[in-house]
This record gives sequence, C-alpha cells and structure tokens, in this order.
Amino acid sequence: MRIIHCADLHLDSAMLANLDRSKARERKNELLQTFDRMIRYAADNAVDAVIIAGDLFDSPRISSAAANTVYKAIEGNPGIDFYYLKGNHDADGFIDGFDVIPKNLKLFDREWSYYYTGEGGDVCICGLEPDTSGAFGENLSGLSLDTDRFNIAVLHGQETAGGNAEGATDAVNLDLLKDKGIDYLALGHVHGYKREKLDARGVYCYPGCLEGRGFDECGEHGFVLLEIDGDRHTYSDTFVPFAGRQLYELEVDISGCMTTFDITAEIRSGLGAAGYSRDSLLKIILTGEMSYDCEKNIDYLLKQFEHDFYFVKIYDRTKYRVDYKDFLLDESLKGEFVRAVMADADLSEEDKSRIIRFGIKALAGEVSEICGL
Amino acid sequence: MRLISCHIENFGKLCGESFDFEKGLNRVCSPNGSGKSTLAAFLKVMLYGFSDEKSRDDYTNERKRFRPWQGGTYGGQLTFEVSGKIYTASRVFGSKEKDDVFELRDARQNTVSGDFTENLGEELFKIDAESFIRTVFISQNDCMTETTDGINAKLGNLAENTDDINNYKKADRELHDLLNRMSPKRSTGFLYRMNAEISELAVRVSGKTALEKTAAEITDKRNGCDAKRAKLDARRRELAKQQAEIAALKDAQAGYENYKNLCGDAESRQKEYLDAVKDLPGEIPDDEEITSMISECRGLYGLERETEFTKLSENEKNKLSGLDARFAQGVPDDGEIERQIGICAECAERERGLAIKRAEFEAAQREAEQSAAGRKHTGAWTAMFIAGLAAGLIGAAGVAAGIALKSSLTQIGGIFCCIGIVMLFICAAHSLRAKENGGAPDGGGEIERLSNELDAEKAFVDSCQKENADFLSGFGIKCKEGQALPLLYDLKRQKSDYTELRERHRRHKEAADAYAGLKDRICDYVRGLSFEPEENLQNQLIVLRDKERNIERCRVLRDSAARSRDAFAEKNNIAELESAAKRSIAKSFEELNGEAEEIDMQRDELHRKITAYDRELEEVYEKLERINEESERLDALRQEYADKASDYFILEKTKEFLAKANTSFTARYMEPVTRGFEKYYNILENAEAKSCAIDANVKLTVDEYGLQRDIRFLSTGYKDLIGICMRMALADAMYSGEKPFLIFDDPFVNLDDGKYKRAALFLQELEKFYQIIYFTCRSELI
Repeated sequence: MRIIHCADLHLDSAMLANLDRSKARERKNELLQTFDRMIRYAADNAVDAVIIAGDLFDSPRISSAAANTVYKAIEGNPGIDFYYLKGNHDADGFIDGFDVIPKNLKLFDREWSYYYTGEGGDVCICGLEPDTSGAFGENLSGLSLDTDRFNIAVLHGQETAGGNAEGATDAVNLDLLKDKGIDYLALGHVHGYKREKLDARGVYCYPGCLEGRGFDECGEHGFVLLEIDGDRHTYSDTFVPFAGRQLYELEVDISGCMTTFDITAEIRSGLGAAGYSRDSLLKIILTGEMSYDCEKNIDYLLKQFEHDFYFVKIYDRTKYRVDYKDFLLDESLKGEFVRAVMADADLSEEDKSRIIRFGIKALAGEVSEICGL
Repeated sequence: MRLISCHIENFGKLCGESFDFEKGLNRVCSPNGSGKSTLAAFLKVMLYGFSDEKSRDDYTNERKRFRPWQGGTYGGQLTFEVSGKIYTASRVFGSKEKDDVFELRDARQNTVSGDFTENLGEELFKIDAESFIRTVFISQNDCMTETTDGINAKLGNLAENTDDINNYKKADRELHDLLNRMSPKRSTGFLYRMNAEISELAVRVSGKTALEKTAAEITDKRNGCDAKRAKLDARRRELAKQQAEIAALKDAQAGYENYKNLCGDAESRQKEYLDAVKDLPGEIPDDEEITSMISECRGLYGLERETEFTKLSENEKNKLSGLDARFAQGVPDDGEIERQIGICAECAERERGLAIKRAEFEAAQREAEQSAAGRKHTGAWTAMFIAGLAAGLIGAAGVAAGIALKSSLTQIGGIFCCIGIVMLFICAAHSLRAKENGGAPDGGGEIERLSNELDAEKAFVDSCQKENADFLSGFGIKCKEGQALPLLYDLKRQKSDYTELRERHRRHKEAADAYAGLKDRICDYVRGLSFEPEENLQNQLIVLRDKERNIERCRVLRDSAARSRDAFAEKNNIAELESAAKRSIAKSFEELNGEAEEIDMQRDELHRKITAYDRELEEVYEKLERINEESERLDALRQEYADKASDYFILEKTKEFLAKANTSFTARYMEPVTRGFEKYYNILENAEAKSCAIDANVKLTVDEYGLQRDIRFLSTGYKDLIGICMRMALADAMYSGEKPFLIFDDPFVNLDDGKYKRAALFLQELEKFYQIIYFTCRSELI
C-alpha cells in the first residue's frame, strides 16, 4: 500500500511578505498547481491514500479556486482515499461547502477517528483534531490501537515532550503517544521536514510544507511517500522533494571589498558555487567587516541580480572597520573627528564605526548617497 | 613673497601701464577715478582670476566689468618673488574662462616655468579667493572679515591636506539638510511621514483583534444556526422515515388488495372458460382444421357454380349427338383442315393461271405464223453486206495502188472505201435492230413448251380437287367440283363446336363429382363435432370456429390471470400483506407533511440566516485580509523606520561630532589670532581690546552693555577698524613663515581722524613684515 503524507500546504496564502502583488498572486496560484501536481503524482504512481495532516488552507476564508481545485482532485480520483485532518489554520468552511462529501474523503474529529484500509483492513489510519484553541486536552492519551495492525496516527501541532511547549497550546505531547502501537506518527505544523524515533516501535515525521513561502521556509520541500507491506508489517518512508520553486539564503562575506563592483564579484562567486536555479527565490545576506570609507550601493547591487532569479532581496549585515590608530596623530579635522568619536564611552562600537563612516562621507560630500536619500 | 612689478596691457580703463613695487609699503596715491581700485582688482584677477563670471550683471561679473574700454589685448603681466625665485605670470583673458591664456616664466632665465599653474593665488597663498579677500586683500569699504574654511585650514597649517577642514561647512550643511529631510519632527521629514503612515496603519491593524472577535461571534452564531439546522434535518429525516413507513404500509395494503383482485380475476376467468367449453359438447376442434374446412366450404360453392355453368342445354345436347355422329370416325385436327383449305385455295389459283397460259399459247401460235413471212428479206441484207465489203476492199487496194503508183487511183480507191463503209454500217444497224427485237421466235418450240405446261397444270388441279373430295367424304360430306372450300370451312366450324361442347360436358361431369365428394366430407366433419350439417355449411362452420376461439380466448385469459396471481404471490409475502392490511395507520400523510413543511420553513429561515452570516463573515474576512496585508506593510515600515531612525541618530551624532571636532581643531589657533588682534587693535585704537572676544570659530564679538554683540551692529568706522585688525591677526597666524604681500584699497577711509592718524603707525608696524600695496586718494598723514 502506498500513502502520501503531506501537511501545511497553506493554500490561499497571501504571499505578500516579500513579493509584490503580481508575484504574490502568481505564487498563490503556484501553491495550487503544486498540490494538483502532487495528486497527479499519486494517480500516476498507484498511491492508495493521501494524508493531509492539517493546514490545507491558510485561513478560514477559502477562495473558490482553491476549494474547487481540492474538491475536483478528491472527486476526480475515486481510487485514492484522502484523509484530511484540520489544522489550526483550517476551518469548517471547506467541508461545509460540499453538497455531498465524496466517499473517498475521510475526515477526523475532536475524538479519535479510526479508519481501516489495506488488504483485510491491516492498516489503521487514525487521527485527532485539536479544539478551537489548538489544544488536544486529554483526548490525546485516549488513543487505542490494535498492535497487530500497521498503525498510522495523524495529528497537527508542535511536537514536545513532558508537557506542552511553553506558550504553545497546539503542542503534541509525544510522551502521551509512546508505546501505543503507533508505527508512523504523521504530523503537521512544522514547516520543515523532520523524522525522529517516537518509541521502540514507531517514528514521527513532519513532511514540512509542500512549497516554501518565505525565507523562514528555505530549503527543499515536498511530501513523504510511505510504502507499507501490511502482511509483513514492514514499511519504508521516503521524503520526495516536490516544490515548484526553492527558497535560499546565501550569506556572502564581503570583508575587504571596497566598492560595489568588488561586492558584485563576491556575490557572483557565491552564487556560482551555490548553483541555484533561475526560478528560485533568493535572499542574499551581506556579512563581514568593511572599511569605513568603502563604497557600497545596495540598490545597484539589487539591480544587478534581480533578473537572474525569480525573486532576490539583499540584506546588509556588514559592519564597518575603523583603524583608530591611523587617526591618532592625524592633524586634520578628520583626525580630530575620529578621535572625538573614539573618546565617547556611551556609544557602541558599531555606532562609532557608523558615525565615522557617515562623518567621513559627509566631508567627501557623499553622505546623502549612503543614506539612500 | 613680494610683488616686483606689473604691466597692464588693457584692463578696464587702464591701458599699457606698468607699476614697480618696492619692499615694504608701496603707496599709490592718486585722485578718485584714476584707476586705483581697477589696479587692485587687476592684481587680484592676476592671482585668482575673475569672480562672478556667471552673473548677468555687467558690474558684478568682473570679466565684463573690466573688459578694456579701449579694446586691445585683455590682460597683463605680474612679476613676483617667492622663496627667492622671481616669476612673471602673464594672462590674456578671452570672452570666456576657457579662452584665457596663462603663462608663467622664470623671470631670471626667461623660461616657461611649471612651478605654478593658473591657480596662482591659491598656490601662492594656500588659500582660496574668498579667504584671500577676507585677509590679505582689503578692498574699499570691505574691511570686515570672518573666517572661511580656507582661512581655518591655513590657520591650522594644513597646507598639505586642507580638504576636510575646507569641506566642513559644506558637510555640516549637507548633514543639516539631510537631518531636516529625515526629521521625525518636521512635517516634511521622511521619518515624520513614515511615522504618520505607521501610526495610521497601526490604528487600522489594531482593529484586527476586534474584527477577529467579530468573526468569531458571527461564526458562533452561524454554527448555532447550523446546529439547529442539523437538529431540524434529523427530525426531517425522522419524518421522512415515518412517511416512508406509512407509504410502505399503504403499499402493502394496496398490494394485498391487488392480490385479492388477482384471485377474483382468476376465478372469474376460470368460470368464463368453463361456460365457453359447454358450447362445444364434443371434441374442441382444432382452429387450423376448422379454418381449413371453412376454406373448403368456399370451394364447395365454387364447384356448385361450375356445375351450373357447364351444364348443356337440350339444343346443345342434340347438337352434340349430331356432331358425335359426324365425327364418329374421328375428329380431324385443325391442321389437316387448314391444309385441305390450302390445297383448295391453291387449286383455285392454278385454275386462274391455267386460263392465262392458255391465252399465251394461242398468242404464240399466231406469232409463229407471222415470223415465217418475215424471213424472206434476210438475203437482201446479206448481199448488201458482201457488196459493201467488196467495195471496201477494192477501195483499199486502189488507195494502196495509188500511193504506190502515185496515180489517181488513190482517189478512186477512197471513194470505194467510203461506199463500202457506208454499206457495212447500214448492214450493222439493221442487224442490231433485229437483235433488239429478239430476233424471230422459234415458233415450233415455244408452242410445244406452252402446251406441255398447260397439261401439267390441268393435271395438278384435278388431283387437288380429288383430294378435297376424298377428305370431305371421310366425314360423310359430298363435294362437287369447285365446292370444296365452303364445305371445308363448314367442317372446321363444326369441329370447333364439337370440341367445345364435348369439353363443357366433361367439365360438368367432373364438377358434379367433386361437389358431391366435398360436401360429403364437410358434412362428415360437422357430424364429427356432434352437430348435424346445416344447409349453410360455411356459416355453421364459422359459428363453430367462433365458439372454439372463444374457448381458447377464455383459456388464455384464465391462464394469464392465474399466472398473475401466482407471480404476485411468489413476489410478495401474502401473509405479511394480509397482516399489514389489518394494521391501522397512526398518523396520516397530511399530518406528517404538515410537520415537514413547518420544518422546511424553519430550515429555510435558518439557511437564510446562515447565508447572511456567511456574507458578513466574507466581509469581515475581506477586511481581515486587508488588515493582514497592512500588517505586513506595517512590519516592513517599522523595520524601515527603525533602520532610518538609526541612520538619523547616527547622522545627528555625526553632525555633533564633526562640529565638536571642528571647534576643538580651530581652538588651537585661537590664541595667536587673539594675540595678533590685540596687537593691531592696540596700535589703531591705542587701547587694549578688552571688550573684544574671539570664539572657537574665530568669530569676533564685542562686549557692549554687558552682552557679546556681533560686530555688524557696530559703527562703520569701528567695524572697519576691527575688521582690519582681525585680517592682519589672521594673516599673522596663517603665515608664520614667508609673509605674503598685502593689498589695501583705501581701507582707512571710514576711520575718524584720530584713528586715521594711527593708521600710519599701523602700516609702519606691518611693513616690517609685509610688502604692502596701499591705494589711497588722500595725501595727508600716510
């Protein structure tokens, strides 16, 4: 038996955090397209069931395009069972919109629900939805499984052990799920892939989101493909990278660069080594120490790379280096200025270096440029 | 450093004039309008070039102002000594700066020197033009001074690197402008506007919680309605179940009623069948057989009609008897009769031919007699032929002899030839005509032939007539010569009549026999059905068949009814149906429908409310979506604000530290400037300069009535005095080594007499250290 375990698709996400409206709309559609591709993958690869472990949608307000895409995917694949467990972002709106719930759509509740599938019902898929506050309460420990079966439990929440994570109402206390006969705990909520041992028998796994949405969701995204031999009680689980686009953060140390041209070359070198595809979303973080009198134009740098990728943003986290000894005996206004700044004990070193950079650029008539005004 | 001489080609009103300068004081005293200020300006322009060149005002634009009045080359030379070397700088001014020509020569070697460029003043004095006219160059009515970046730089002995101090004011101004543009307090400030936008967005975003609460409340209400609707749905399903049960009960009752009807129908059909069977006490006939009999009845009537139709009348019977006698020996076939008729007809035709031949024979006899007379004329024609032939031969011999002898015999021979030819021709013509007429018959042969033919024909006719007579006599008919034909035709007709009558008689007999046989068979069949044959057998048989068919119909209906009953019984549990039929219905359909309608109305109302809540939720979610977008924008703005605020703080600090550095830097040369000022003030004012103060920015103030006052508020003369002292104090401080030359364009003109007298002491003190070019229009004292 083949099962896809996915979660946190967050369809209908606004995607406005980094992107302009046009690109945000495009990415929003791409989320739907990736979901649709995953269903085609399931159909083409004889997958028997798809487990959606919460947060299928981003908010209770579901667009008709998203609702129709999901509904048609379920209705159009009667040979695949869809096990949909609502997450903290999901609401009842999607289900309420159905005149008839398709037979192959299996839902869960705030009590443990059990479905038996596979040949002779040797695979059990059970799930528990959190309440409106995202908490499972005492229901979590009420799980009861037949250990002769291959048991998959579906939950949505932040994993924790020994009690709820601090401040997290949506925590999945793994201690309460140990030694219950779970073979595979299909989780949702964490947006990156994670697989760990649950107990002697089982593992728990977050497949992560299907498509990265922001730079806090960098790296590969996709779903987990389970292949279960119910008779022999064996299985394999494989992470299948499936996102249409990848998000990357690239740190580039530009220490020693004195001009925007130098920085461009350094970034190009970093990009060449990384080998990101052109349809990626990229965040370049400039780090390192630069000379206080260097020339650095972030807007120009952005222009240099914005057509090389689907989206590029540049963060400047560089610091400025001032060699104070150079100014100790400098009989000039500049020397007087640097010494005056150095003597101020209330300023941080970073502020001092910035003041010195600003002051020297001001004397050179370039301060407006570095302020971007 | 000193000026040695200058030569003016053309400059303003000055033309072709040269001036030599000595060390120390060089006093140029001349009346007003003689060109002193123009000379002073010439010296400045030779050092620093023109000022205000972009001005459209011909007065303030020096290039225009000093354009030679009389034309000619615009410019001149300046010879000066610096660091022991003497140079001559030449300038020729064009209409624009780029057209200017500058040349520097080593005056001793008269070689072009690269020691200085066209920026001669800056390179000599290490100060810019502005600083020059604030220190060593004092023009008329411009004695006041203030420090410039150039002065400060020079004061700080920063000749090697004066860029930063030179740019301080510009940097300070730029920082000031930048801080203003970024100001969080000014309404036009970037941070102020950004903060306003953040505040506005924050207010809007702060509504998110309330909106979420609203959404939750609406959702609760909606869910409440949904729960009610679910209860109603459950009751509606219960009602539907009850309706279905009642419908099932009613169906069972109806089913049992139907079963009873089916049983009744089967019974009545059985009775009907039995009644029908009674109509046929005997064997029930086969439908096919009886139908066949009915068809045969129709044959019976046909036979009856045939019998009637073929029956012979008495006359016909008599006639048939007569004809039987006639043809007792046999009936001739039509072919034979026709052959006899043919023979008879040919005989008649031969008879007519015989008469013709007889006429021919007689004609031949007459012609034979005529030809015997005609044969006497034939010998004459033969004689003519021979004579003609002889004449011809003779003539030919004569012609031949004549030709041979060449005598007249030729002509005679010719004549004979012609005669012979004519005669032969006539004979030939007669012979041809005779041939055309067939020649003369052979009278004896022809007649004989014709006679033979006549005999043969007659014999044939006779034989024919005999054959006809013999044929007719075979049927008892006597035939006279030439009467055979009508008799043969009569025989032919009789034969035809006989054949017809005989056929009718045969058919009549056959039909009568068949009719009797068939009728007997049908009657036997009827009797076999236990009925006595009736006169109209066909009708009787049809009635019987109808009865048979009625029995069959009743049987089919009986069987069908029985099958329907049995099939129903097989499909339904009759006992249950019977049991259901005995049960009563608790609630009527109407009652249940009434309740269902009430529930449907309530459901519709709840649906309406849910739809309204959904719309409200949609609106709230739209607002929340906008707020979320604004929240994103707010976060981005806050981040940007924090970055810019940090920049603003750093800029403020930068400005503050630059100012502080500038102050501390300039403070170092405050003391020598102050000392110099006090020295020159003491010379001019003959008093200590206690009321004057110089701040860290080398700005001079005067203590008047308890306050440090800007010197601009002082009298013109006092301002000039302080200005002159300050300029010289600055010059002293700026040039600790080689001193520059000083150009004074009547700076003491505004001093009162007492101070004016002391100006001489002032100049005496100065000329110890400086070369002074002093222009004045006053000859007294100095």
